[in-house]
Parts: sequence; C-alpha cells; structure tokens
Amino acid sequence: MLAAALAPAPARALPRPEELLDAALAAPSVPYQGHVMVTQWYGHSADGRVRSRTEEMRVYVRPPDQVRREFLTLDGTVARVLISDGDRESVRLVKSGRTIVGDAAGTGDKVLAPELERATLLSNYDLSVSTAEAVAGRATWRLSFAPKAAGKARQTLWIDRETKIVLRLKRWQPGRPFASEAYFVSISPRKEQPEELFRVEDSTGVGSAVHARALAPRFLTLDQLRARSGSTFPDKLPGGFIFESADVFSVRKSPVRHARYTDGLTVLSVFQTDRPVRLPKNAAIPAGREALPGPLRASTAGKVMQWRVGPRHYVMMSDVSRDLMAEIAKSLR
Amino acid sequence: MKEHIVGEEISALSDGALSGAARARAEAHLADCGACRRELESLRHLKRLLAAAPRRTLPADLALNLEHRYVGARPWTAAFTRPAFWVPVGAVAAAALAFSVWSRSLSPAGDLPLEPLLAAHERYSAEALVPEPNLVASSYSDPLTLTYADAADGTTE
Repeated sequence: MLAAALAPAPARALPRPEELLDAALAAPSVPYQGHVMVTQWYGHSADGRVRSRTEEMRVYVRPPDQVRREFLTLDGTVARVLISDGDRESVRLVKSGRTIVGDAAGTGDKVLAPELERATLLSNYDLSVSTAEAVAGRATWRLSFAPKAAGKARQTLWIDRETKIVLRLKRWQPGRPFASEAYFVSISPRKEQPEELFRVEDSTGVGSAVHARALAPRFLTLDQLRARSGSTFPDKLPGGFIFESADVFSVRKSPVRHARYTDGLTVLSVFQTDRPVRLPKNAAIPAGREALPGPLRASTAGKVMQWRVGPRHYVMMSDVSRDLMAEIAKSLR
Repeated sequence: MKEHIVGEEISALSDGALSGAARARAEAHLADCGACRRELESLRHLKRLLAAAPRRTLPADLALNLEHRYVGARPWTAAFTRPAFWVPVGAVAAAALAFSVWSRSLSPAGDLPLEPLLAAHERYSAEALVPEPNLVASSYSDPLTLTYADAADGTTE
C-alpha cells in the first residue's frame, strides 16, 4: 500500500492540439459573464519607452452567438457598448451618442473555405499542448502556436479545461516590443444572461447615425477585384501567406483596394490607393537587414509600411517582422 | 403652437446658457415641436464637427510678418490699429484661414488618412480563423478606428 501511495500519479492525458483547437473555435456551449483586460504593446516611442494601450471590459455571452461587450473608462463608467445578436452588431459611443450598426463578424461568406484556412494554419505553425497555470481561478490547457517561418508572432491560448472558453491569449514576437494580451480577471460560467442585453441598438435615437458601409467588410475574389478595379494582386506571398479575400471602398472619394492575406493565424492587409496615405510622423521603425521600400511605422495593428510603384501607392500592415515585411513588399513590386 | 425657438435663443440653449424661465419655456416647447428638436440637434452636431476639426497654429514667420506690418504701423494708420476695426477684421481673417486649412484637408489632391485603413484591417481581423474576439473587438470598436464607418462611403469602382 505504501509503495502504491509513493508511486507517481499517472499523468493526466493531454488533449490532442487539433482537437483542442477545434473545441476552442466552436461556439460557446454555456452562457457566461466576465471581466477582461486587454493590453497591446506596439513599438518604441521617441524616448525609447514601449508604447502600450490597455482597455478593460465587461463581457456577457449567451450561446450560440450573442455577445455584449461594455468597454470601461478608467473610472469604471461605460465608454462604448458593442452588441452582437449573431446577425447584426452595433457599436454605441456613449459620450457622443452615436451608434453604428452593421453585419456581425463571422456572418459573411469568406472566399477561403474554413477547412482550407485550417489546413493553412496547420502547415504554417507547430501546435503543442501543455498543462498551465489557472486563469481567473479555473484550470486551463495551454495551446501554443510556433511559426515555422521566421519573422512571425508566436501565440498561446489558455483554454478552460471544462468549458473550452479561451480565458487568456498572448501574441508576441520574441525580443521585439510588439505583443498583445487579453485575459479574464474573473468569469462566471453558466450564469444565465437576459435576452435584452443582446438587443442590437438601432439608430433612431437623437444624435446617432448609421452609415451606408457600417462595419461589415465584403469578400471579393481576386477575379472580382480585377474586374472591378483593374488591379492585380498575387495569390501567395512570402512567409506562407495566401490570398483570402478583397474589398474595394472609397475614402474621400478616392478608391482603396484592400487585399487580405492569411497564414491561418496572422492577417496581413495590402492596400492599394491612387493617392498617398498620411502615416504618423512619430513611431518610425528603422530599417533592419532588408532594405525598406518606404517608411515603416508602429501601430496597434502591428507594423505599417508604405511604398509606391508608378502611379499606385501601397500600404501594408501586419504583425510580422520588418524583414519579412520588406521581403513581402519586394514580391509585390 | 407657441413660437419656434430661433436665433440667439436656440444657440444659447445648445450651449446650456439659457437659465430659469427661458430654459423652462424652451424645454416645454421642445417637448412637442419636432422641428425645433431637429434644429437643436443639427446645431449641436455642427458644433461637435467644428470642435473636432483640425486646428493649425499660424506659422511663426507669417505671424511675425503680420505683426511687423500692422502693429508697427505709421501714425496716419493709427485709426486702423483700434480694436473696433481689427477685432471683426481679425475674426474674418481667422475664419478664412480656418476654412482654407479645413478645405485643404478635404481636397481631393490631399493625402488620405491612415485611420480608415487601420480600421478596415482591424475589422477584418474579427473574421480570422482564430480570432481573439475580446482583443479584436477592443481594437475595431475604438472611436478612432470607427473612422472606417465615417470615411469609407462604400462605393465600389
């Protein structure tokens, strides 16, 4: 009996990475509410400090796809409210009284089939699962994504062992001042949420407005993009990125063609415009090993680079290294 | 129906500068006059737009030049240095300068702002296979990034 008591406990079987990924991507199975902190670090300021942005929010979820997020100011009052009922979503800016309504995220028909996007993810990243510390007092599995190509961010999800809710996420580039993190400070699973919390706010109130474009992007194929704008983009880019979809919209009556690429985890945008885009003067990033075709800036969306080819101006943005951005830009020139 | 709220009175109401009986009268009128409510909201909207409009400082060399030309004027021009003359002229000049700066920023020949492009990227990130919805929602609902909804008029080529 003593020998049995001293013997090491059998290791709890870890779930397979792909199985855990699919469970985390599935719609939530239980209602819950919680408190979330979001922090982004994005490059250095002129005096050498890392620039960051932090936000606090209350989250309410009702399966399968109703979500309410209340973003808080420093003194705890609500600054804006994002509500999705699964079909439509609204963003209300409390101070200005404006409400913007559009199709909910995830309701559009993407060009790339989900199984192909998943296969792209698995071909570009090594997935691994390990035991992890508790988050918001709940036991988790850690699912890690390690990129196979250089210059891309690593990502880790801390997934609730019981409910499969993603309790914490961190993206970072080793040795670089670019990272994002979101984590639950507290969470109450299985707490029933009243229906009225998830009613998408319309725009009939005084001071609010709905815009024709609202929030939802369109999903054009490469051929549709070419037919509408005469612009051609490649279907693949260095670093394992493949074309997912495109959109064309106008800013100040000037057309903007937006080609979206993915490696299954990281999104990369290439914008083509007829007029130059005004980049911020600060947050400049110096060139690295690769020569840069134009100015490079840090932003909350990662890095932003601009260059020109003939009459066309390009802006690229993604959370990848400057050398990989330079390599991708070279392939587009 | 009572007389509509017009002119200085509606301007004072929008600034919160009406008090006492005048404010009570105006609010009572607003309760059943849609036209005045719309007018008041339109005025407030215009003020918000003006408050959010870009402001530029007068370039130092231009300011010095103006100072040399007008402040150091000869005696026979003394009449023109009286505030009664220059306050309205200055106001008109400032308004013209502000309009010029503002219209230049809207000019088709000007550069495009980055914010709508950032917002389009952030909003699309919510469609990614492995989104972190809380992280992405924080970015794309940010008031700055909502310029996407404002600036992009949705027309296709």
